[in-house]
Amino acid sequence: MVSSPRLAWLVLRRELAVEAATRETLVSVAPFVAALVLLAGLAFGPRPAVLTATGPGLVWLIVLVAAVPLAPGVAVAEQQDDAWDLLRSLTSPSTLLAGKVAAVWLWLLGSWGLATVLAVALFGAGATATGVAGGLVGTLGVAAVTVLLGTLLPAVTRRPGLLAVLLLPATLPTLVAGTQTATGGVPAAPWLGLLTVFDLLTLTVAWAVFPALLED
Amino acid sequence: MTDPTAILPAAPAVTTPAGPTLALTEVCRSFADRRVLGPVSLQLDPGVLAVVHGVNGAGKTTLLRVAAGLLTPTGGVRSCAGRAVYLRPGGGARAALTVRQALRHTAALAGGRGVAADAAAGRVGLTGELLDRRVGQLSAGQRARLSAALALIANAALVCLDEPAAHLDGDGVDQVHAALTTLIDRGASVLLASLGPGEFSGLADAVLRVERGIVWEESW
Repeated sequence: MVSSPRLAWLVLRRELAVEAATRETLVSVAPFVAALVLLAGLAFGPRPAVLTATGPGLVWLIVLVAAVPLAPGVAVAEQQDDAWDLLRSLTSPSTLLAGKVAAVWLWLLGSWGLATVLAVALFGAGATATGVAGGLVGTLGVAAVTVLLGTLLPAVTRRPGLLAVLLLPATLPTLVAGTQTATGGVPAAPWLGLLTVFDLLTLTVAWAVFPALLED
Repeated sequence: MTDPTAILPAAPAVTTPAGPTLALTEVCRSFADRRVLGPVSLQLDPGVLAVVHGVNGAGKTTLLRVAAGLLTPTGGVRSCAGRAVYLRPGGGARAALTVRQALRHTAALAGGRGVAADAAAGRVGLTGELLDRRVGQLSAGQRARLSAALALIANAALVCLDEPAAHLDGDGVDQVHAALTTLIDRGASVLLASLGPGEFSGLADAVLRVERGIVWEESW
């Protein structure tokens, strides 16, 4: 009998092995993030003050948009390989959810990190400790929402645009609160609290509805 | 003509004090108000292999997926004593992983060890450089053998195999036979769907026919 934390870790390890073999997330998301930062820099103009002020918001907007291409990796790719049924049979819904959320969290943290580094380097936006804390906490809730909608995705493959319509509004609290935690001169504690509440809420909802979403 | 209502006898061929691995009682399954299965009552004891055959669209896959717990019955009761898995030929592994990785990840998830994965691969003829080949680069027959190996290491009380002989040559069928014999010897129950009863009838304790969602007993 495998313990639940170990099963979740084994699901995550399998996700890492697939990514190591394909580099699919790296290849699809990293250029996307870099391109968005560069294009935003061009769009917002040359004034440093504007770029510095918009940096934190831009980073979080990019994180949310980057979640959309991550969603198919949750269930659609598994189903295309015909591996989903066996994975479901070998894990409980909660351990499968935990492993998948952990994997998406890692990819989102990577996206957030890359976007932040580029924003600091190109826009002169400052990196703060509270901004880093916001990145760690905020991406977890976005990961939970992404996994939920990614699990729904096989049922809506004919309407993939629906995913973005559902995902982006559901993560709006992260956009607002994450931006505030990274903005200088703003008290971060209330916003970090909001991000934590958002995490707890999304993880609880995910845990409650995930078994039903797994049904054919 | 066999009796469609008494789908299996009250006392199956192999009885054990532990009770049945799988029990379906008046189980039905509908999709969008269209019933595609049932009512079905079925009991499988440990170490029993039942072959389910029928034409395309008869309801075999639905029966197997309900038995494996992947589909929830819309009526009736399903109970299974232990883990149940469902595998199509070629299914069960991510295409990007190598055969060795796929087997080892599955063995770990099932609570087993890497040596069990290697042994299972050898049992179905996946040896040598095939172990380091990506699953997506295998032929259809090799992938079907991999699925049989995955069934061996899944540590399941109930193994539901959908057309396991599809894409297989003669040697491949023999290797799947050997894998099934191992599963049965371990006490696993096997529910196996096939277009015809032919290839696996020699191993079967029961042969069932599915017709328009109704399961008929042919032999038990």
